[in-house]
Amino acid sequence: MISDPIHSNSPQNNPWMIAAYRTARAMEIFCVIMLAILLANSIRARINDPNNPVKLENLLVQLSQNPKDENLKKEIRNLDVTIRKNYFRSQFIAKYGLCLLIGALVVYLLCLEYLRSGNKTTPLPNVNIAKEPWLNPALSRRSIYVLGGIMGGVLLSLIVLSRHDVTYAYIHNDLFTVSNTASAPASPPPPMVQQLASAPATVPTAPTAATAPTPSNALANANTAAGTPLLGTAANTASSTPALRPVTPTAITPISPNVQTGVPTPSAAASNDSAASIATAYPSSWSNQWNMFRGPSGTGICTLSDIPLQWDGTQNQNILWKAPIPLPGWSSPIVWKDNIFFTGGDKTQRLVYCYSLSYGSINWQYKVHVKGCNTVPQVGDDTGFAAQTMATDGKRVYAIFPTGELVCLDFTGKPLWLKFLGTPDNEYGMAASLLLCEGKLIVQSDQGSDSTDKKSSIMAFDGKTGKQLWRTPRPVGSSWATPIAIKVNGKTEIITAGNPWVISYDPATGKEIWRCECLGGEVAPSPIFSGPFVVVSNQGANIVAIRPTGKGDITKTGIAWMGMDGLPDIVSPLSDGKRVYLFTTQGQITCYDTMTGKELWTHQMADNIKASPTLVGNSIYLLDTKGVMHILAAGDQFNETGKNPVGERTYSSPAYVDNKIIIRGEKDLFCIGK
Amino acid sequence: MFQKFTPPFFLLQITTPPQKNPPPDFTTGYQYPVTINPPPRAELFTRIDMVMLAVLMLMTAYFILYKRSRREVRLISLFSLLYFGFYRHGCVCSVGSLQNVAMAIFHNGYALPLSVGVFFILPLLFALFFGRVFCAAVCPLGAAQDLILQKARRVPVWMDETLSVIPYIYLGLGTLFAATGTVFIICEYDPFVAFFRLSGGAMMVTFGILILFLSTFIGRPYCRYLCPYGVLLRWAAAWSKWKVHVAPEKCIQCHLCAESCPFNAMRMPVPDEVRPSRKSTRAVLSRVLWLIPFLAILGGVTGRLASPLLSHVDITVQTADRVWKERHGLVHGETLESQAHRANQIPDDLLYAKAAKIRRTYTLYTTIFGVWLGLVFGLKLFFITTRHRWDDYDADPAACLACGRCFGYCPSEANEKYAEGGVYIKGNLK
Amino acid sequence: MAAAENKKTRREFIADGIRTGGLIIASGAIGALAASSHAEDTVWQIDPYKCTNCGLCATSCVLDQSTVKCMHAFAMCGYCNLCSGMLRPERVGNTIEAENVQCPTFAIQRSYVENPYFQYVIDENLCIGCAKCSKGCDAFGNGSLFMQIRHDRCLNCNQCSIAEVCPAQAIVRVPAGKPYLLKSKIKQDG
Repeated sequence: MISDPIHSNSPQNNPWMIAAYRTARAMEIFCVIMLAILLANSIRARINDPNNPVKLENLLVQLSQNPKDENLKKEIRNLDVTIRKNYFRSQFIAKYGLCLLIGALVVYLLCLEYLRSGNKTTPLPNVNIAKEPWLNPALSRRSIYVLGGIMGGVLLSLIVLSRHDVTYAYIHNDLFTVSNTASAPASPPPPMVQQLASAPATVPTAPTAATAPTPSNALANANTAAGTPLLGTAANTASSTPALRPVTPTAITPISPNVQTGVPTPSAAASNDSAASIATAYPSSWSNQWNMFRGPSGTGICTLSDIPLQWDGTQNQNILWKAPIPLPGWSSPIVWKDNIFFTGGDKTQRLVYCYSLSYGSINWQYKVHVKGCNTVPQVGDDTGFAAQTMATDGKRVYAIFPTGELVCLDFTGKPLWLKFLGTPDNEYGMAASLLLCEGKLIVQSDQGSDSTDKKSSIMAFDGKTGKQLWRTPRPVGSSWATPIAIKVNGKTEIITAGNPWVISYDPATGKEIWRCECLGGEVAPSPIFSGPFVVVSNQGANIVAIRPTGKGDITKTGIAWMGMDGLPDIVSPLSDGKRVYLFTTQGQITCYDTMTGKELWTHQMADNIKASPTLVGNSIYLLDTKGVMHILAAGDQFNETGKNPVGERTYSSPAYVDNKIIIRGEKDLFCIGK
Repeated sequence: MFQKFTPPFFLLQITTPPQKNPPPDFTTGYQYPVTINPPPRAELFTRIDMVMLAVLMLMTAYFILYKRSRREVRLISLFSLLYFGFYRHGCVCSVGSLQNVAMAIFHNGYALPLSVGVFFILPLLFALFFGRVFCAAVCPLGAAQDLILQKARRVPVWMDETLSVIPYIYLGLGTLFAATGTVFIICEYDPFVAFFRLSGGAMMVTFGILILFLSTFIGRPYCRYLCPYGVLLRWAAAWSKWKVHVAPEKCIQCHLCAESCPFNAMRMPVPDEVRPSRKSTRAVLSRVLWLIPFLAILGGVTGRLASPLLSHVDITVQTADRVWKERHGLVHGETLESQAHRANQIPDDLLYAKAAKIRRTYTLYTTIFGVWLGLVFGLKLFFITTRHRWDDYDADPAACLACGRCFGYCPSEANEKYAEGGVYIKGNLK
Repeated sequence: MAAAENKKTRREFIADGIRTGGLIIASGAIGALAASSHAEDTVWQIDPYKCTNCGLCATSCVLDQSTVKCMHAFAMCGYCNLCSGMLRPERVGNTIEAENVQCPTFAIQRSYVENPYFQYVIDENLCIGCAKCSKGCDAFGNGSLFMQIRHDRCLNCNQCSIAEVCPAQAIVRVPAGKPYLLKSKIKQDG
């Protein structure tokens, strides 16, 4: 035990000193006893560990062979009670025992402190000390050499012992970060070789192996040269495994993203048919409006330039007006000329609102009730009864509700046609918004727990009459992602995301064009397009870039790259043509390079995000749940250029129109502008 | 590429498993119970911690540099041990914070919290002005060792100098693993934190008891021979504005202060007859100077070779290696990692890509780490050889832990000031 | 003599420069951190969608009784009569007795709601975080039972010792302002 000065210098006549001395001795004994108790306790806790009840498990195995044995059951129950009792008792003892021990130690130290104040000894000078340090710089150096030698030796022998770890071929087979751009289709260089050359040479022989003509040879050389026979056999089996599958050499000529004009570029499509030319599919008359979820393109691209940059809702700065919203809802506002439309609802009623963009006053409201709709489905609080965003084509406005009610109104609030689609079966409530495409109203209705329920479908309605034009069943369960319409090589397609299929439909007939099995989980983020790829992502799956050129199931052939970081769960991704940005609800932003799939950067925002972002010019407008609009510069690194609060919590995606932004807050509608 | 998740076969054998049941529609007006999610400890506490850190360091500086008294410093030690150690459970401490800083600088996607930043910077800043007052009494790890130190045995100088290389290595290793976002080893192998939390693994408790046992007769073994933050404090304190000086006026060369210092932190004048000759020193020096670049390169090469080994600490790399081996029939059975990888339905290729990326990062960082190791050894040899020549006894500001033990031992101090414990002993010295 | 004096002042000059620089850097860094809204403290949490219920949480936490507890997302629960989170798959009967239940500490308790539904509640004082129930619920039920780090117990170690061993790397740093990753998925139009 600790040898303390009080043994050598016993206190003299001061009664306090004597008391302190005795207390210190008592505490010393107490500490030793307490330590012994705690040690015994911890050993006993290890024997009676409910996390690893060996004895109990054995009895349970016996019982499974002999399920009727009542005595055995009794024994199990008794043992179980004993284990639990001992477990919680030992925790109690450990907790309070340690507290007591520390308390005693503190008292002990304080006593020593007091005793020391009365006992002062001054050592006598020791002349030999002066010689000590200078006797041994050489000795110090020698012992440092020894330490370095030992350390280096241990490290080197570990390296030698673990050298077989060095040859894992996957290091050289880095499929997803290797750029697959600009390789001419006529003579594609063997991709494995390219990668071997570009990967850092952990195997010293790899660069020489890189000169081998074919991928499999190169790999075999790399492995045999490393002298590991085991891996030689591995390389033979390797060519058939996905781990070593070389990249299919696909020629992709990077085309300039065509989001600004909204007009497809047929020349790019004609010059190279393996790279898709993707463009938005909306008519030019929509380009000044915000007529659907995430704007006319459905991908969160605003082509206008004069969008407000600065405001502050708390100071009433650059807020044109603020109008209360009577009923809650998560649906985003849409704007056509001077009309703002959005929905609100609760268990008892659902309404369509039309507000004036100039004044913020309410033009009209329409209470929805469609014949046949008598049951209100159970929906989550976080989805609510007005989650789906409306759509308008400039003549009529369309609204859909989680109750299955679909309504079409004119701009004065007069109903043109009403439809009941049946009460949806969706555990959180429906959330996919409406899509307008080539004059048709597209409703993606994914329901049921999985595809075996056969409840999901996609439908097209004639906007004018409400007649159902086509209905295609979908092989997926519930999803919450809004479809988008794009032009691939000049031909319009509807892209839908579900679990597990991403499917493209022909809007004219509803026939499936291609499908790709690459999603999972509860799919809520919408698909987007970026460069020549359709990009989908969801938490529980991956971010996947798909070449939308094939027909039928393109899972094996159509995936250009994948990534797994920063996957969104609600917020839709955004692309500026060169990069794809992902946003999680927790506020993590991850940026990928469109062409290569390389992760460029990630950034953690301070707040949650629910609203989907919008690209305005070269700026990303990102609204967090605290109502702060973050303005980020699109680019190869995170760069926040502005931060504008509205002073209210926000969950919906804002609408961007000429000189104004419409933000739906929890209670109020804000119009931002000068 | 995407495997469907199939439950293990023993689960399939059970008859009629209750498959996915939709949440029911209750008819009796049943409401979901409310779950209360307690928030983490209030932010207020981290503010108090920061203020406490600054105030305690200021107090220590006042008592050491101005009052020249050890007694209060011991009480402050006891207080910080109880507060930062046992009450706040020793987290976040300045020693561990250097890893957070390294991770914030090198690893993407981690923002340094303010409190951690303050815990990292403040002690260094104080060291620039007042010396290592943080070590003296505020660091709970130091306080734990210092308070139980009874009778210090002197560590021979050659051993002291050899062992003091270890903190530099530990600093490099801790930074390497933090910068790659792998693990915070300095926290993982903190010997005292098990005591502060009143629970911990058997290994760590044993290690802690060992260090505490050593510190009863060796002055602060963790601080001197392990603490990586001490390296940074050493650099800062070497330039400190106000230093601990033993003799207030004239040193009378009595060696008592050197005798009193349990940490070998005293500079000593050396008689000419025991000093190595200038010629031999010069010869050694030229050898050492040649050695430094060689050691740096050797270290870099070794570090690079060790990259696969060290990267294997990363759990993604471990998983990727394991999955690769399993796929190629090199091992049998599954580990928890490979099971988790399959259960989460992550494509193998993606895992390999991620692991390859981490391995590449390691190749760079371990090379730098190796160069650092080589430089540490080389420069240590250099400084041992070119030791400065001192005329008087005084504390080495870089190594001095500002504990104040020496004040009471200096006869010139005792003659004119209050000595240790505040007892006025002027003219009373034996 | 003059040279020595000169040298000393030069050293002093350098030292002053270093100190001033250090002061400026330190105050700049602290100021920048204080001004930055990202510098919020972080805490550890389990991402329930990555968690594979391996059970290491129970034994790896530095606390004697793990800070990880099972939580219940009631909105996801099927309120089954026979709960696969509560009863072992290889049980011999359906009674709530030691030989049939998953939970080693009887922390999961069931109560009748209405025919045929039962409510299942976790007693956190008893739960030791072994994840047996959530594993059972994930395998056969709706996955409404899931593991979370409870912040009234968590010491928030700088290096979480569970995160170190978590095979799914499901334990992540989250901002202290939103310390839970709950398993009721928020849905709106995405």
